[in-house]
Amino acid sequence: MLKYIVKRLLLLPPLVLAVSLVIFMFLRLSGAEPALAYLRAASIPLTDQSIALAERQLGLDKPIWDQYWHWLTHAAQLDFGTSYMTSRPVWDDILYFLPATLQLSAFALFITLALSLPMAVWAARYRDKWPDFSIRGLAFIGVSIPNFWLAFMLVLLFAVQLRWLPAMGYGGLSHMLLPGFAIAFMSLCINARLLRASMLEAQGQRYVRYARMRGISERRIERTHVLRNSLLPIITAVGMHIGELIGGALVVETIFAWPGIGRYVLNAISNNDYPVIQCFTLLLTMIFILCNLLIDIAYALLDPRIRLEANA
Amino acid sequence: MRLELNNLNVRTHAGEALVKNLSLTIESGSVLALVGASGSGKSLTCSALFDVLPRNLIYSCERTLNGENITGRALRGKHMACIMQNPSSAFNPVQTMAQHCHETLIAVGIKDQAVITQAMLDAGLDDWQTVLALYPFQMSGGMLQRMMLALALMSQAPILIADEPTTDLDLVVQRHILNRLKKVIEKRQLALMIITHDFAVVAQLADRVAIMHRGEIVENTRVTQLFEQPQHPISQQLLTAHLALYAEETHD
Amino acid sequence: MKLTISAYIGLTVFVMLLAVAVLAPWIAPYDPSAINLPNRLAPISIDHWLGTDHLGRDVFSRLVMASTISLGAAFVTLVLMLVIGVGLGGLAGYAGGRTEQVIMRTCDVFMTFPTVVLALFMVAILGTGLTNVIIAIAITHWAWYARITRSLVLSIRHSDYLKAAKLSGVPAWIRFRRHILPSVLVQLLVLASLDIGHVMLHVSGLSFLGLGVQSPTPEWGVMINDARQFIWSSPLLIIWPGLAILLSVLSFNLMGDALRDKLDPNLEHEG
Repeated sequence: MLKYIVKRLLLLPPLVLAVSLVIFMFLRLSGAEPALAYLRAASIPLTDQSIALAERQLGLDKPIWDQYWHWLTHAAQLDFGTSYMTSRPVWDDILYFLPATLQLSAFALFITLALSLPMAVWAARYRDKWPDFSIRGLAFIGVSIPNFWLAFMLVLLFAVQLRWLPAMGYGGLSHMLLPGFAIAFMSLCINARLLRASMLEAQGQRYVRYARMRGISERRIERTHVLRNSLLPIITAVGMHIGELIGGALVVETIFAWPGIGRYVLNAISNNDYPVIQCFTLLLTMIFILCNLLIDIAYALLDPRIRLEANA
Repeated sequence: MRLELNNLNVRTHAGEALVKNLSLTIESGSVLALVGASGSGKSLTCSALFDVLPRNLIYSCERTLNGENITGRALRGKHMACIMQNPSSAFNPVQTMAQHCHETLIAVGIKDQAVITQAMLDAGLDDWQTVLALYPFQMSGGMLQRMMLALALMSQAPILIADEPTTDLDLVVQRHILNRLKKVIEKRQLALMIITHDFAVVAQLADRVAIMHRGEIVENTRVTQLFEQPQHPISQQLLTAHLALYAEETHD
Repeated sequence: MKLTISAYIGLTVFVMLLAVAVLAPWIAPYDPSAINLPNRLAPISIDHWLGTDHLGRDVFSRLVMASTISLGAAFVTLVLMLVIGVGLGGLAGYAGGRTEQVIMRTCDVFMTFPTVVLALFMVAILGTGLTNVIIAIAITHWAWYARITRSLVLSIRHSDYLKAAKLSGVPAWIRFRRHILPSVLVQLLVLASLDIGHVMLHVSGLSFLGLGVQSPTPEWGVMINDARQFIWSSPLLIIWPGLAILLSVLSFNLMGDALRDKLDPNLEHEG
């Protein structure tokens, strides 16, 4: 297992470097003009002088590789420069808003896993009967529904009509339920489908038949033979879900006035606040990479064939 | 201990008959061999006995244990155990042998863990303590086959069905397993039905032999009788083919 | 060709949507940009089948005209994704060696970004507007197609019937076109049809955030955004465009499933 983990860890630095390169180079090569953006945000009139001054201050007159190195080394020390909009250090701003988004994403992940599991088990247990059909039908709609629209529909039903839950704002469980569910719904449906398929495949395996022949109860078979083996491949799928859930949180937050990083970044985009955009992209991508690494490690721990280093 | 299987009929949804009106008897003190070419329906018979046929097949039969009717479900584990070919895919890849033993005992309601040790020793796994901690991928085919036998023994089932247990193994391991099987049956007074296509196995283990062809039993006699005077043309064909194979080998 | 009921439904809805999108200017009874403030937020009536929005514009007309933009944008994005992805992936698979390595590593890097994050980044540096949204989303998705195309090309390159063709002396270009291309195209078609719904959701999502189409151009995502503030008073304004998106994506997915079942049953799916 150690070999497996070390191999994954070694891939990390070049990947992170490549990601940072893409972010930096795409920005510079896209024709974006940080100097102008900075001046506009600071409401400084655009004259040849002010532009030249801004370019010098932002280090834009240096060769591009120097600029990249400068940005990268500072980023490694968590210095992402100053926001054009707020004139505060970008890192401080982002760190202020990020936890709320991560909280919502984590809650959405919890909903995804907690609901998709029983749905899939139920559907697999009653294969080709009504429970299976209804869950498959629901899942089909789930992957076709836009999450931001679902959010509004949930608000309409639960906040406007029934008045059971608040329509917006930051808070505890009651404030997280509607946005969390809107974000989670699609991933939930995808995961339920995946798990169901995985379970059906496991059900057809010889070891399930052999267990039955030894007189082991169906419930026990479902739990220790089918489920344990069908959950393993799902673990790697969770990595993909996390990416979609974070993305979903960014969009849905704005609907619920959830004080996360989504609205901050949208502001930054309209103001061409490039330091913020660079930091945001790099940071969230890093978080995503880290989550995937943790999931890979979890998988290595849970599958004895990898944990004990099986030779194929 | 006497198990009777009567009037087993297996067919597909489309109506094709795979096993027709098959009846056989398994009793302690006597080893029955079920022989036939591939596709004759031998493994289907085993699956039907245990009531684990695939969903797309329809079947009906009568099972009688010591004179009383019994379902396949009730036979499983407690009264009847199985060892099969290709043991490596029969074990749960994420469970240790110990966990396999544990669930088998729970299924048959035995609390005494000592039966595990005895069963593994009888099956030829002397280093049973090491083996219990192993996962299937860490074990060879021969070890897994012995483990299957151990699992069958620890459930204390008086009837053992062996479905082509030596087919994937090399000849040396084959002989060991069969010897082991013979010893264990004598020691524990088990009833055994062995399904095979190999007459050498029949000669080594069986007292009675039933020849299957296209879903039917065409001949059912004592082994000595079959080898001396096979009655049915299919039996004759199979025996001739078998002997020819051996004849060729000895000539080279 | 026998199809399941759901496939028929998907196909029917898809064809209807296509018709609406193409014939939109003739179907829409009103000019979608015609502002008529005295009649704002009007309920369903004979004059206005779905009522009017906050600026008095006819909702039905806007919905219909938006179909052209929403569906069109999704298709264009898909085509762009395919062109980039299949082009690079096919090149990687066919050329091998250093080219393949470089392209595949690039794929890996692009696949490490979370989709929405990358899309937001691309819009941030390219600017807002529908074209840039299309480019942004195409850039987030091309890597998957490149990967798949490469492995398809590789597996076909090494397949037996291709070797047979090579042995019989058929030149390389014709080998590619006759043997590799059809197989690859079929499998890509299946994947694309399963993916277009997803693409559409992303496009409308970015438009909803205000990064895509700008008012007054009608687009389903934008219409939902415009209607947000009226959720308490005129909820229907939010419901219609969302329903339109849902229906479109649903029909795409139904068709994608049907295509996959027909053309490539070996593809791993959830039964």
